Amino acid sequence: MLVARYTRRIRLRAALAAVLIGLAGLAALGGCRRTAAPEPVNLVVWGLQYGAESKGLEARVKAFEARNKGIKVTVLSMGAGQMNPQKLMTAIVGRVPPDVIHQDRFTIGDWASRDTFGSLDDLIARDQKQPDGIRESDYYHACWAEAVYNGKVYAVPSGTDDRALYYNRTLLRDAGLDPDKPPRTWSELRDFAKKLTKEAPGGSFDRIGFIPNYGNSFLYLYSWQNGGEFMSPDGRKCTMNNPESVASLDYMVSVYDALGGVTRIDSYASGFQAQELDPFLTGKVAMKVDGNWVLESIGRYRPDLDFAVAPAPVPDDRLAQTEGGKPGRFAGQDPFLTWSGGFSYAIPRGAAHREEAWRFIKWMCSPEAALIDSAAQKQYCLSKSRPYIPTISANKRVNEAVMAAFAPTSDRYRKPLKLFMDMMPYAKFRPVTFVGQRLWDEHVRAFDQATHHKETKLTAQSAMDEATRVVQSELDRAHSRDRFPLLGSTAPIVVGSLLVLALLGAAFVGMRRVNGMGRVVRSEAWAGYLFAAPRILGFLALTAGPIVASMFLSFCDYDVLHAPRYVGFQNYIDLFTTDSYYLKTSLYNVGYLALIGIPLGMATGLAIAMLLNSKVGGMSVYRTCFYLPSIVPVVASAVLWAWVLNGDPNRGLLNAAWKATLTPWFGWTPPGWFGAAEWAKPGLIVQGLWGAGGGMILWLAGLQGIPQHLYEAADLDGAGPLVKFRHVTLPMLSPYVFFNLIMGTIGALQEFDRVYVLSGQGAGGSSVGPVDSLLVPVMYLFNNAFKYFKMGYASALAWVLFTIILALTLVQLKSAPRWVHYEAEKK
Amino acid sequence: MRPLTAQMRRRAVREFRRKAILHLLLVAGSLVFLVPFAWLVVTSLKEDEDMSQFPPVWVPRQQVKVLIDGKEAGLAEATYAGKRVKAAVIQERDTGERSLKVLEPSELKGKVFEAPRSAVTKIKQFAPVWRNYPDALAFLPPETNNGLVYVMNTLVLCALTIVGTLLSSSLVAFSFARLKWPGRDPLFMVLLATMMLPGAVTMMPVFLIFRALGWIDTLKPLWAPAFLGSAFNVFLLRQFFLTIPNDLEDAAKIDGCSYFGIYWRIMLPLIKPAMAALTIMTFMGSWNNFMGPLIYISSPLKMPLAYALQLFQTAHGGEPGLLMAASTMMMLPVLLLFFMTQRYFIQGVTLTGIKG
Repeated sequence: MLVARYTRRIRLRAALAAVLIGLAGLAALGGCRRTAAPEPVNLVVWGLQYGAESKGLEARVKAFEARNKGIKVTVLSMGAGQMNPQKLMTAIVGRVPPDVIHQDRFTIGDWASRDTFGSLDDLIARDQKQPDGIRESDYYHACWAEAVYNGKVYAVPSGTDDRALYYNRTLLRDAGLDPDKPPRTWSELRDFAKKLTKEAPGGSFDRIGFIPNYGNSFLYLYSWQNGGEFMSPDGRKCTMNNPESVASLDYMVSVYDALGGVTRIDSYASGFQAQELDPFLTGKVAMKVDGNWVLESIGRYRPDLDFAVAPAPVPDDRLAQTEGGKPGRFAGQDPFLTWSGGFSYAIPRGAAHREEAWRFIKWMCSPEAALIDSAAQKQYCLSKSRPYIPTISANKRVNEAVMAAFAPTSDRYRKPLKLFMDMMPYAKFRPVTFVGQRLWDEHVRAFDQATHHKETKLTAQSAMDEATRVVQSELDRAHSRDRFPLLGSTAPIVVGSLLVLALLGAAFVGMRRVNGMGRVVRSEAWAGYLFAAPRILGFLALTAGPIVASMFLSFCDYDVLHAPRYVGFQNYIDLFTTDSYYLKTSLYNVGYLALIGIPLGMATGLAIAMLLNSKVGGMSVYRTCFYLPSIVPVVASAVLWAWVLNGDPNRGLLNAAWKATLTPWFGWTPPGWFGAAEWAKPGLIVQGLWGAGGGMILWLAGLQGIPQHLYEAADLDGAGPLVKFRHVTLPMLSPYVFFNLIMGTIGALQEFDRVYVLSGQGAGGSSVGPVDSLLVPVMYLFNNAFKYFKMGYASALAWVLFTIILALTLVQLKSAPRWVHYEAEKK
Repeated sequence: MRPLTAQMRRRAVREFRRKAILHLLLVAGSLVFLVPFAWLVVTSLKEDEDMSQFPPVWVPRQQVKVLIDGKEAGLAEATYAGKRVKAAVIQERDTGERSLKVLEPSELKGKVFEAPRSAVTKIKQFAPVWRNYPDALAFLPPETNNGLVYVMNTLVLCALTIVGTLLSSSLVAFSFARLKWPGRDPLFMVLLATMMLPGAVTMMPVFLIFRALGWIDTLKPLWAPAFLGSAFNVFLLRQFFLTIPNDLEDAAKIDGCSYFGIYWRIMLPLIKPAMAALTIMTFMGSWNNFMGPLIYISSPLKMPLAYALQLFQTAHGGEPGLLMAASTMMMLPVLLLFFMTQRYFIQGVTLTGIKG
């Protein structure tokens, strides 16, 4: 009786403890829960940014709120103007999308194809007759067409832009060139670039005439100028490797090479600053192809700059129109063209307030709103005594209204602005396709690889062939998707219930055994289960369950928004065949980092520990100095080192030291670090070594554990310091070496955070470091899982990664007895 | 006192030389490791125009200001009437011309002249640009103009994670170390094995689970798992519980103490040092957590610092002063914590290394 009461009490206490923990968790959950929905509709808009310079935008939105009393607009920039697609995708997939998204137009096809944006056709048709309705006829063709996918409109174009050549007239004059005759053809452009470039001692530049990909031009513009297209008209074939596009890439490469190579130029360019120190404004770059928005910053920061704008130079035979006296391949075509891009408003799928969102979009695209915007922005500019230069809208009516009221008064800005507007009808736009983002990423990658031909040994042709192949396989995969069967609910249910049965069985067996025991033992067992319950639950829900699910996923094609399809081993096959480039590159990179980084890190840590172990005064102070860097948050450390390892010796600390010492002594030019393909990984290793002091603590403990008599014995044998290190210290430390090796390998293979920061992934970069030199497996996995939402493919990759880690660990474990020395075993 | 023999003197000299070389090496090494910190702080206090200089500018400086006709004006050097003069810049024209008023030498004092921008040299003195700090805070996030939101999010995240980790890990570890129940040892082996599993394998399904719970764009996915313990922490604390002698526990049992009582009143106080180390490690982990917020958080108002700093970098990469001020603010609390709890820090590292 007494015992029974006793056990009951134990159970009660244990239950109480569990309940307490549960309550603590629940209370915490409740504390974070949002308060009830606010009275006015809260319209969440992503992709717009308020700031000191966007008084116009603010006025526009405020005017909307004033006209629509029940709506409050929350504007979120999501990364300062640069929409991070991974964030938007996660929000839509996670069912917390914004109501309106201000999105770069060229990606609309991509988003529409994945059912992530809703079509606006019904709303457009409904309001066609309304005064504020959206009508196709008001818009430039290039702008409107970019927002249409498969015959349906998915977005309303807002602002637009186009590109032309800016040049610094003073610098042209100084170089003996006529400032009224800017380059018009590609060969003139290259000549001008060479003449305007001034080299600095030590391999850098004082000024560069022209950088083909600096500003805003990219291979797209050069390719269009040369008559190339990246996609077939029906959108089913990628034609990136057409002769015209390849020739234009060749041209870009030739300009880089003529000026000293891409690595040197990139290292110079990595020092470029923004705003008033913009390299074009400060004369560090003499000419650039860029958008109309640059006018604003010239007006703002360099009202004294003697500049002019001309159409971007084109291939020689395009301007001549003839070839050897006969009409050439460009006969009858417009000599100059431009590229127009810009933004648009769309409504994501699952948006909570579609009707209010539509009202907002109509307002933002109306001439009335544009006039309010311009008035506010102009007032702001005047208050700062700088000229107001209107932006270009995709809506022709808006432009007419704004230009009538707000055109710049001085010729200095009016003429260039007029040139930009006049070029709009000759604008090309990027193909509307669901592989838009891929096409963009691959074209950047191809450019990157072709310009770095010294390292990659790739020609423009082979780089473009490879890019075409990747995009084409993406196209083919999407088109063949339907042939794979939908993953029915049978298989998961069967496997799931089998697992649950096994679990119940195990629990039953456990209970039987517990019940067969004596009371006291039984109560201890119950308490044990109860106390271990959090981790058992965690193990089942967050480890075991996900492992099984991940296995399943790796055989599926699953983007979360559509039902999964069973594809068999296709994900694994793709990984090793069509996408082997990524697998190989990422494994190579991670292998490089591990093979060089881990031993170097261990050696540094050990060296510091040995210094500290030598019994000199002030050891705790030294220890703190060495240890401090290792506790700096990874992101902060990466941000700091991106700056310390800046390629420009005027800015990067390490390169400044290099330039002051190694350059005069040995004539070595400072490396480009994260801006150069072959130096990015060494840069990462250097950054990692800074934290090597973290391992020092362990080494120190190991060193202090070595019995002194071993050294004394060695002394008696007349051993020198090297021999003692080799035959006493190292063997005695081998368990620590072993531990560091295993943990280091596992850690290195999962490298992610600092690579993400140092390779500028957050800025939407498509290649991870120059020529993918920082592409690591988890980075590739992350992009596939949360940027493209290819959950199945990413899972397959995860399993491949796991297999590799497992194999490496097993090899290390197997080899351990041969070289790891455990003192205890002998006792 | 006995006079030093030649041999003793030699030994003393040798010993002195050894120590001197060691100190030299240690000081040099420490400097190498500390220079980036100095560079960080100096950069966060420099003017933009000093960012791009060779040799690098190590002392933050600004143009000297003087009061001229009731207005503040910058002090500069220029050539006027064939002489180097000290003058105040009274106007900067859009065209790049500067209007200057001579201050020295006295015979030219009060004269006003024009000079192009390039002919005017600013006179500077030591003066840190503190502005970068409030500016960096104000930029973050642009929607609220108050970076404290991020700090708040991070603190909430850290607090909840620490509470969850300490509670659950110690409870589970106690169960695995001190209580006997069928299936305990095999289950422990399974737990240990999961430590090997790369996070990448479970990342996608776990995302789908949190999505099903409607937890995307909340901080919950970042701290809720802490309440379920982690294999590593359980393992660590279990090793500690194992070192406690049985006598205490037996005595408590005889006194009628419940299992929870044994855990709470006897065991927990004994492993306080380990709990302290675990607290610090957990704090560091959640303060630094980057991938979690990257996956789960999309609203700026809910972002923790680590992710916010990365966003800040993409937005203000061209303004190193601001960026370095933001980085300094991100690492300062961690460094302070380190100085306050150095002992536990080192202990934590040694524990995880040796016992692991």
